[in-house]
Amino acid sequence: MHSEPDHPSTRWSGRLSDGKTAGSAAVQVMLTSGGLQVETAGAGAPVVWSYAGLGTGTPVSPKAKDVLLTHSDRPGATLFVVDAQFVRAVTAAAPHLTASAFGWRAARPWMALAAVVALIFAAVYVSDLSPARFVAGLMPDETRRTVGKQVLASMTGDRRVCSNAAGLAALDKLVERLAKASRSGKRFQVRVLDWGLINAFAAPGEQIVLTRGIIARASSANEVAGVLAHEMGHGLALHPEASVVRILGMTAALEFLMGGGGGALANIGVLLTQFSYTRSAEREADELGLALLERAQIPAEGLVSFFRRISELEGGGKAKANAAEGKSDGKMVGRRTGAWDLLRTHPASNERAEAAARRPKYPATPALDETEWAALRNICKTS
Amino acid sequence: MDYPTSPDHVTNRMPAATGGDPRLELGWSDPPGMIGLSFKNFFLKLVTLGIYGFWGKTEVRRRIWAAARLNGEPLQYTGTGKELFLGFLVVFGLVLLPVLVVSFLLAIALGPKSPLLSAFQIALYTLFFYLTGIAIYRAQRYRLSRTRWRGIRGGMEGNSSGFAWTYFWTGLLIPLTLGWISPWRSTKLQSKLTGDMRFGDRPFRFDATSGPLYGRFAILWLGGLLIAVAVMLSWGLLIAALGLDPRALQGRPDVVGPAFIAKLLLVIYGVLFVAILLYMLLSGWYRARMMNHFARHTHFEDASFEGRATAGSLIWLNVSNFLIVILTLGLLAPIAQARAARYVIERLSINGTAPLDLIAQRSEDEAKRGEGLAQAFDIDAF
Repeated sequence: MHSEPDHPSTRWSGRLSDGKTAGSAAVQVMLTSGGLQVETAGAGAPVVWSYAGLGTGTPVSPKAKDVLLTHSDRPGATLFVVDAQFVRAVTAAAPHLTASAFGWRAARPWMALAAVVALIFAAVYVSDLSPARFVAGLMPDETRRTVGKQVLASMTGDRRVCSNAAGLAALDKLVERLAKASRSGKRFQVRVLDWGLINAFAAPGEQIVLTRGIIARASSANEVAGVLAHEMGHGLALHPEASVVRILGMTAALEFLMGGGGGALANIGVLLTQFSYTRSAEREADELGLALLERAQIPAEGLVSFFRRISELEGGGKAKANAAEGKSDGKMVGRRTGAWDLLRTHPASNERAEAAARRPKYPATPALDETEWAALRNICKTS
Repeated sequence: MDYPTSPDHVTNRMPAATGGDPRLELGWSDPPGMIGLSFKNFFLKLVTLGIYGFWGKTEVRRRIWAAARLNGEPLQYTGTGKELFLGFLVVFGLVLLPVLVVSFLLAIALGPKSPLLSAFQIALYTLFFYLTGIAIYRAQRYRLSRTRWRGIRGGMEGNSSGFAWTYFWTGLLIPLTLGWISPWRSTKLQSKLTGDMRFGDRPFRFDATSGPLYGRFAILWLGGLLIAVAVMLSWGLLIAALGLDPRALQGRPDVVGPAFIAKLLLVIYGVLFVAILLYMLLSGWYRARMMNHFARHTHFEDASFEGRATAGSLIWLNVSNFLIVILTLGLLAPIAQARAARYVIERLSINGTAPLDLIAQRSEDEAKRGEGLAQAFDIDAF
């Protein structure tokens, strides 16, 4: 299989160790057509190391001045020769010693495994199968409530829950109307927080938070009902629960990729606030929300008009005026109207408006009457 | 700077035997192709989201080990990327993942501000501190068991829990003793690490005491204190002299502009920079002494080591390696590792002999997986 090697009659000196003790012996080495002929002075006939069985710890570079050889038939034994010419001759006879992708070769099966795992992830992502949602569906109600309470605690801090009696009555009426329409038997717990930020969010366990800011910005009870229906849609679809599961999974994956240096442990509290939904989840919440509004016979326009109005407010010429307004509000921070957070998670799109417009008209009555709407607007008044 | 005994002249000249046993001589032959390897590893690590790192690290070690020579013959690193990878998988599955899940569930059940959660986290960090000791010991055991010279393996004879316990309790005493336990602690830990070391069936011996380290340590400690005081004083004096005191300028927003802030930051960080530099010099001076002291008290058969580390060279090595790694975003980390290894080998020599022909191979008792804990806790010398 091997042709006549280079330098057939040259004898090189090297050192041979048998791998049984740390001693070594001076040897003469020759490249023959049958292999490497190793001759130990005073030890009788030379032995032959076949070229195919030769091994080396590191790939031999063409510039190497020495080489440490092992042989598969002689475990433990090593042959060390210092001679650049010998290195070139022996690698010519046994080219596998020079494999440029030495490290890569051993890693290949594991790389393949990593690629398969990545493919599975990609497939799950593309096919819209949500393992997180599957796990979320397995969580008992009690667990979902507990998780939700902590998520809310992380997100809202110590902000006061608004409790004006007339306001609460109006809110309960609205929630009841929508909850009944969900036909899910789920008990939604909706609270308004004394918080200037314009936001609304759903936490696990059908717990929903509206801010004083969002109610103040709504032009009618229908708009509040729209926002509420959308958040209830998230709750019905278990989006908050899936999000918690996803965060945990992502954190674990990151920790894995960073080789344990991700430092996730220190940030459990922060993690709980990292809620975000995909566009398709938002679409689903919209659809469920619109269905709720229809069954509850509340006008559907509120859901779309509110988000659109807020986004125009933020981007349009009125932004400055609102900024001034925002400043007067003790809880609002920065120059924004405070709606940025809401818009980040609920981008107002034409697609959204069209989806609402596509739905057939149905007979509807206002979400709340004028008195109730006034009471809801005052829900954070203490006196 | 070439090491005087480059392999070209050494191979067939066994160091002169005195009284029969061969003398021992360390050498270094720069590993070829490290820059190319750095690029390859960096790229593959990137495209495999870090997974190739285990194989890349192994490849780097193979070359560095092969560059180190004893009596002209190279060391051999026989570890594999697969072992490192599996080691990490096991630690990830048995330690990191359960800890992550339990922490998360507790945070959810108890609330992010619960004192119970804090207690749990403190317990966790305590456990991790103990595990760090285990990791250090096991990483050394793994590396030694994958190190061969003339086919003979190294190893560690002992177990990691004793070392980890010493590491743990002496570590807790560092703040309580204001750092004064450090030289004693370093000596004690080194004594365990070296005393358990084997080459073939022969042990290393370590007989250093911490006494000789305390002179320099006292100077380092007092120097550190003086530097801290000097930092405070210089800040106060410079801020007063340059009129930068924000309190004195209350109600004068016209003065407090970007230029003012820049000047203030320059004073604060300038002084800090000089202080850190001074402290590094002092600590390098102490660490060089420690390395040489430990080397002198490390014995193998009839040979002893001798260290020639100096404060200046040690600091230069650390600073230049730091810059090499930072400025290339880790790309040239293998070069830095090779430089560190070269420094150790070149600053170390062996005086004396060992009956090499009588040193037999170790029996098999080796770790099958590598360094999972050390990887997880980011302990990584080479």
